[in-house]
Amino acid sequence: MVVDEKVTVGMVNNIPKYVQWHGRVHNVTQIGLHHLYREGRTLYHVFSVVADTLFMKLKFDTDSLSWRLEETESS
Amino acid sequence: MQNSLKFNPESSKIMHIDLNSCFATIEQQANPSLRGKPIAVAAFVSPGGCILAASVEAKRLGIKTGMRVRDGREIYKGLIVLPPDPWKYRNVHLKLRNLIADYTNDFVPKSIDEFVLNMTDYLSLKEPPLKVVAQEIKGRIKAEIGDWLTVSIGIAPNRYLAKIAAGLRKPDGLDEINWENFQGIYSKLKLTDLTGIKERNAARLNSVGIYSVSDFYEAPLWKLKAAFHSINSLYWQMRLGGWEVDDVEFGRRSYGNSVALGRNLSTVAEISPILARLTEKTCSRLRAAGYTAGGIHLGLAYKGGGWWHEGRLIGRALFDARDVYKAAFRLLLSSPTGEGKGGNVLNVAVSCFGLSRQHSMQLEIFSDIPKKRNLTEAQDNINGRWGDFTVASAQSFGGAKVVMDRIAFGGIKELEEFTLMH
Repeated sequence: MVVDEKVTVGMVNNIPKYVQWHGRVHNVTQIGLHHLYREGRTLYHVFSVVADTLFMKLKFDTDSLSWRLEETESS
Repeated sequence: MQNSLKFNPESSKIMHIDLNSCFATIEQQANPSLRGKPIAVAAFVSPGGCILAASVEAKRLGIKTGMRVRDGREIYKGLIVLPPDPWKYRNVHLKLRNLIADYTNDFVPKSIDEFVLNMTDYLSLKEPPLKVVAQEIKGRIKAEIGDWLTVSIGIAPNRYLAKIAAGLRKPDGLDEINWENFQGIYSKLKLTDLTGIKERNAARLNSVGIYSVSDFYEAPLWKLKAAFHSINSLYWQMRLGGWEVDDVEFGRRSYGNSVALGRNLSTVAEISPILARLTEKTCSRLRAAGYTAGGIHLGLAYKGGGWWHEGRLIGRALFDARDVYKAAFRLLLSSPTGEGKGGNVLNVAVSCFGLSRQHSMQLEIFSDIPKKRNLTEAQDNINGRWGDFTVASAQSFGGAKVVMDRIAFGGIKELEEFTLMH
C-alpha cells in the first residue's frame, strides 16, 4: 500500500531501530534491503524493513534530513 | 570424419555468475513476507502486463518471463505481482560488482544480473580451485548483500561454456564443464538448451544430420559450414570445444529508449507526447556521454504482432531533443499509424544512430547552434541538480506517466551510465 507520509525513525549505527507512525512506535526486527538513489543531486537512502508485523519502505532525504514512509503492508 | 579440434585441455579460468530470478528475488530480499511465495515483477500489474521476472517459486509452477500477468494468474490465482523498482536492482548490481572486484578486475557485466569473470590473474596468485572461490563468492553474497539472494555459477575454459554451466542447475547451482566431463554433460543437453541455438538454428543443424549436442561437438567443420554457411561454423566448433571466441566487447553504436504502452494508442496526438518524452530521454543520455547523432530511427509495434520501423539520416549533428523530436515526428507521420490508417500501437522505440564526438560543430544558416548548445547545457545542468525532466519541452510532459524509469531487457549499455557518485 502506497502511503507517502512523514515519520520519525530512530537509528542505531546507521540502521533503523524503530519507526514512529501515527503516534505508535514500531520496532524494526529485520532489514530486508538498503539501497540508494539520486534525484538530481539529492541522495536518498531507502530501507525496506519489517517493523513489528508491518513491512515498511522508508526513505531518507539527505538534503532535508527527513524520513518518509513510502509503502507499508502487513506481513 | 570427426571434429579434428580437440577439447581445450587447459584448466577452467572463466566464471559466469547469474543472479537467480533477479528482479523477483531482490523484491523478496527487500520484503521478507514475500519469501517462499510465487511472485512476479511485471512491466504493468494490470492483466495485460508482461512478466519481467518470476520468483523461483513461481517458476516451479510454470510461470515464465514474457507471460502476461493474466496467464500467470491463470496458472496460480494467488500470484503476487509487483511493478519494477529499477534502483533496487541497480543497487544490487553495484554491490555485486564491488564484491566481484575483490577477486578480479577482468570482469564484464553481461546484463543487470550476469557477470563474466576471467580468473586467470587471480589463479596465478592464489591456490584454491575455482569451485572453492565460487563457494566463497556465494557465501559472501548472502552475508554482505542479501541472505535471500542466490546465484548460479558456471566454470569453464571459455565464456560460452561457463554460461552453459551456470544454466545447468538453477537456483543456486555450481557446475563446471571441462575436458574431463564435457561429454557426459553434452549427452544430457538438447540442441535448444544451448544459448544461441533456437528452433531455426536447430533446424539448420538437423538438415545436416546433427540432432544432439554430442553430434554438434563431434561434427567436422565442413558439416557445420553446410549448416551455417558462414564463419559461425568455426565459432560454434570452437565454443563447444572450450576455446575462446567470445572475448569481444562491442562498442555503442546508438542511444535509444522504448516504452511498452499500458494501453493501445492509435492516433498521432496520443503518441506524440510519448515520442517527445522518449526523445528527451535519449538526447539527455546522448549529450551526457558527449555524443551527437547523425540519424534517427523509429520503431512501432502493433497489437496483433505487426511491426513497423524506419530510420533516416538527417545530414547534420543532432543533440537537441527538439530537432530529434521533429525528425521522429516526421517518421511517425509516415508510419501506418493515425486516424483512418488503423494500427493500435503497443510499443514505441526511438533511437539515435551515427554517433560521433564532435568538439567543434558546423554552424548553420537557419539555426543558431551555439545558442542551442548553451540552452541544452543549461537544461542538463538544471536536470542534473534537481532531477530528470525538471526542465523539458512542454510536449514531453504529456508522456510523463507512460515513459517511466525501466531497466533495458538484457542490455548492458545503460549500466555504463548509472552511478551514485556525483
